[in-house]
Amino acid sequence: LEAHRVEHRGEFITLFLKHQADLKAFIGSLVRDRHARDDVLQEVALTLWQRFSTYEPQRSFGAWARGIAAKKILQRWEKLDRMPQPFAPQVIQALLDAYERTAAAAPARSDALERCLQDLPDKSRRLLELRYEQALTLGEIARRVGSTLDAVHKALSRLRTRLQECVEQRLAAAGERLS
Amino acid sequence: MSERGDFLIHRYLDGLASAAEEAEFGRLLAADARVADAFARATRMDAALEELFVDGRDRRSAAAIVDAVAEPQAPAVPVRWSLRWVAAAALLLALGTGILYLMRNRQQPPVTLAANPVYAVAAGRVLVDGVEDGQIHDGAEVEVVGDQAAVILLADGARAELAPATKAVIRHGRVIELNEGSGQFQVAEAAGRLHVETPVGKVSAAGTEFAVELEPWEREATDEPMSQQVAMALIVGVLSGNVDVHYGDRHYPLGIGENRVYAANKPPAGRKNPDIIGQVAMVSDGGRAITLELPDGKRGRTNKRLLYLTDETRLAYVNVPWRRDRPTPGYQASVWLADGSTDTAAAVTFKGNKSSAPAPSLSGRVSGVSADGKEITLELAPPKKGKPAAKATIKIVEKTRATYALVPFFAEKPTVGYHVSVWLADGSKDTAAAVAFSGKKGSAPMPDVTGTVTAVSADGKEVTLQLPSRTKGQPGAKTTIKITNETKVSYPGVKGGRPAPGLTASVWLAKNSSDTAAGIQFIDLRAARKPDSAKTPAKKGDSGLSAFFAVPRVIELTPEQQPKVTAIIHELEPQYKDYLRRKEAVLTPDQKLALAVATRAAREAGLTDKRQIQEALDAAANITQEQKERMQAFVREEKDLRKRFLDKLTTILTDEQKAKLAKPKPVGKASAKPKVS
Repeated sequence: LEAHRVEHRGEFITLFLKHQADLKAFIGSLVRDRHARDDVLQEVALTLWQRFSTYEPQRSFGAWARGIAAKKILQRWEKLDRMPQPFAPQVIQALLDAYERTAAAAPARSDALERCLQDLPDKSRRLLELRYEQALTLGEIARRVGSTLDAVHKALSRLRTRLQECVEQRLAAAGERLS
Repeated sequence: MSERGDFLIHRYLDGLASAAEEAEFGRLLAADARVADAFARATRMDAALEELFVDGRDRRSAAAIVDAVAEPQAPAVPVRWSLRWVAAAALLLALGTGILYLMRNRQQPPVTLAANPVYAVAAGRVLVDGVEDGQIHDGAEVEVVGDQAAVILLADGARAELAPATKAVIRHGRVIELNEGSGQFQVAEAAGRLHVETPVGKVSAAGTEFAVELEPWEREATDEPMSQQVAMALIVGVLSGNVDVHYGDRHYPLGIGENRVYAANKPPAGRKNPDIIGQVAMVSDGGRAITLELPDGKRGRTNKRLLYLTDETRLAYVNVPWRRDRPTPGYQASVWLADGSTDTAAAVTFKGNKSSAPAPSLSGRVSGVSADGKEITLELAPPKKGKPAAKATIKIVEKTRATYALVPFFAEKPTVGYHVSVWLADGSKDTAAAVAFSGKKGSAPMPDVTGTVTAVSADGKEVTLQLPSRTKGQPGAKTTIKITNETKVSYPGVKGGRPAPGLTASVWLAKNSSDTAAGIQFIDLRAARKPDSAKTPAKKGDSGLSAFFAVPRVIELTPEQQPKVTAIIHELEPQYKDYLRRKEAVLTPDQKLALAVATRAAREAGLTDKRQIQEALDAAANITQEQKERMQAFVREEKDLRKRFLDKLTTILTDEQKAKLAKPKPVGKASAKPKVS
């Protein structure tokens, strides 16, 4: 086992780093608290490494990692005795499938997002900064920008949708260029 | 994809979804692949935005990440590594670069149960099955020796700090059988529940910090027959979060700041209520008979009842001062009679009151302390004004019980200038059984500076602290504190026993210095910070929400009214949750941390003046005037919100119910507790 670990250390690092952002997004979709999400990510990373000798290269590493993450999340909910649980197990399965269907290269997505952000007006960027950089609640953001909670929510929803469309377009355009 | 699906995705991402909306969202996700796909894309976008705005800003090269992580800290004492530790260490060593970034906030690898768990003693000294050791195997008998508390690392980062002379057995990493003494326990929510089992009752908790003390009410005089009776009280205090106490046949939930005493004197099986309750009027010389005064229901009249206590009578004392744990006139007595007897007690619980503390034998100001600290000279209050003060020399021996109040931790020793009360040992004129020192009145023993350690100089003589910020999102100021040879340093519960980034430091500055510490205490509150998730606004079914939307007890809702009340709650729930979120955001995380530290310091210092405590807390957490005003505004907002709930509730009530609601509370009686609907 130890020999396997030494031999495959580099391989694991490469795979993990490649899928880390997507794995974090998957966990974050079910565990909304940032600290808790990072804890789960650490646990998953540890388990992935421990079980790497059982990983079959022909399988998707991302799907394998998300499967383990899903189990960790379920275990965590059981451990915390959280009743009712946020989502039923079949919802987690639906999400696993959805993540598999919509998988995309994270680095390309990240680059596209950065470009899309550059096109946003300052006011919109400021709103995203308050939400994602300072992790403020919507109520706090509303107070800061002198607006209402509902207006902030709608603005953020529109921004995320717009950015998503922008990213999809850029990725599609890049795909066309490559082909 | 449906508009509804899109609506729910964004409500969920922004934390605005109600319990009902979450349930609906879950059903949609499971049933509609398009919604699930859209959610997957949206959560990827959400994570990517966070990555860009938070992590991307300090994205570092692999080399920089390795530098930032540095070497994993070695435990203070040799530890027989569990399989999981080995695996964690192997992972750290093996991966070396990128993944270490993930681990940067976790200095201590998580510990979970191995086949033969071993627990490390991070501080203090313990006897393990009678032999001093630095590690404890599962099921071994542990006794804390020496005058320092022993810090023991349990499973999954949970920690027990056992007081000197405490005896305990640790099982399965999560169960501590506390047989004697006391301890303070910390357990993160994610670590599962920790159980402390005592002869009196059981305490269990997750995501909390709590203290448990077993107080044996043993009699000192050994020539009395009743000295063989060892009654016990379990004292539980909650420092953060909630705990559950199982005592007798009942569970008692305790919240933050609550303290309760549970007497070991369980009622005889099947008899919860005592047979007799009365006030002790007389006690026989030998203490074997007591006379109780019992109210007989007629104004101003009482009955008297003589009862006998035997060697079999189980005795317990609650809320009685030290050395007054004996039947005493004035105590309230709850008596369970022996089977078939009308005058012999099977069990008695005596309840005292705080004002019955025995007067000290003498008290005054400490005017001298011997070099070894074993003798103090007291300057007693002069009998008359203008007359010279008398002096007395008191011996402090090993058995002397010493307490300190209004004194910072580093000054807990007999010191000239302290006020002291002395209780002399029985039959002695100069040897103290107990001494209670207190610092100078008005001198706030709060730390001058509290902050998080961000850097430590190579020689360990300087630490840089990040002070609590005044503005959310903005880092607080930094300050550098010098540690000299004269500085008293303590690391209660800190692994490694040395300053390290990430620890929280409370600093008492040396006289006339703005940067040199007279005392500095490092504690590790990172584990305690974790359960932030527990602080998220209450969901349907959570006690916070239920308590807020509680229907007053005087109202008995009809089955038809129940759904209407639920509808009202659903209508107001988003506003209440928003209110909670905004309230939660008033203080920065650092300020909350500083408040936690300062609250503990205030508690330990024995501060009782509410205003003084508030001022000290405000100062410690750097709370601005604006923040204070906002917190006051939140109090008003909460009242307004509650009033809106009650107004809406009134609209669905019958006239009779409205009349009950409007009825003024009886004067002098506590208001009825709200009933959770």
